[in-house]
Amino acid sequence: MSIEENEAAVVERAKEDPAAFGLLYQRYVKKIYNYVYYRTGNHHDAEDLTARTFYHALSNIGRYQNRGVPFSAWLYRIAHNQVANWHRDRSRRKVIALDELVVASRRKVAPESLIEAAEERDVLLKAIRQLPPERQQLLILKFTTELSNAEIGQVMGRSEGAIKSLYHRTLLALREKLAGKIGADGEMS
Amino acid sequence: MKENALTEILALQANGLNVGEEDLQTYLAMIPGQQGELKSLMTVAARVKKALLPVEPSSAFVRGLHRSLLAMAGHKQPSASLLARRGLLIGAAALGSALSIAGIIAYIVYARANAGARTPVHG
Repeated sequence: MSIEENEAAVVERAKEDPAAFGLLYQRYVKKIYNYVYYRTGNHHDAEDLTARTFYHALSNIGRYQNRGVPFSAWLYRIAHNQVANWHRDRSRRKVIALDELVVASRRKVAPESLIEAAEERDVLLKAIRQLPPERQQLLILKFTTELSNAEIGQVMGRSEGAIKSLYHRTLLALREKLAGKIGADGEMS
Repeated sequence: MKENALTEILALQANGLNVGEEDLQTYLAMIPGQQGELKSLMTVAARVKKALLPVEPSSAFVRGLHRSLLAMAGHKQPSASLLARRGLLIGAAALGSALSIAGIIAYIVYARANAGARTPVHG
């Protein structure tokens, strides 16, 4: 899809034309995948939930209407609901994310500088995963998918000002967690 | 007031991080009274940005899901000729029903008219 092409027109076409839905898929698949990956922490579930997100979008696109919520925000909301369901199911049965195990084994063979960088990233990701879901969502939408505050507001159903304030409070909470080297049930310390 | 200023500067820095601007000095100069607080929060933000690097889904997954969605969409969307045929069938069925109803009404009217003509006049 060219940047100039009006997304609203493509969305309307996608209600009738599978090829147009394919264009939307190509535009958003990596962004949705990234969002889901950082909310789940592993590639296996990221693939599963990304697929579910697009199947759901395809099944329901006929009912989608842009009432102040652009298609992208609608798609992120579907992904968010998939992730929320996944966390609900997962809380019933304790599972160790595969990627956490892969990182742990890689640490044994990597050079020291890489180990330090990986450890720094691990600390940050652990701290982020300790935050309430909406704050995790905000950080991922802001830094991984690089949405503007206004776009994040559309996804999360809040004003741009509310998103800025939430971001500020999130950094304060994160700083506190990092100063205490995580704690609670996120271990490390 | 200072809280609002901090919030705005942090939002600006986040936008800057997304376009590769890592220099904190410009932002620190915006609020001389609270440089310590601002610097520490901006440092956290910069670390978060580095930790949340975009990841690449496997190309096999992306291609496979694309194919699967197109196949699903193909099943969901009836072809134009099928739609036209279905439209014709529905139209014919509606016309048939209308003709049947009209026939029944005509019969009732005819029967009543005949019955009226045959009724003997008493008097």
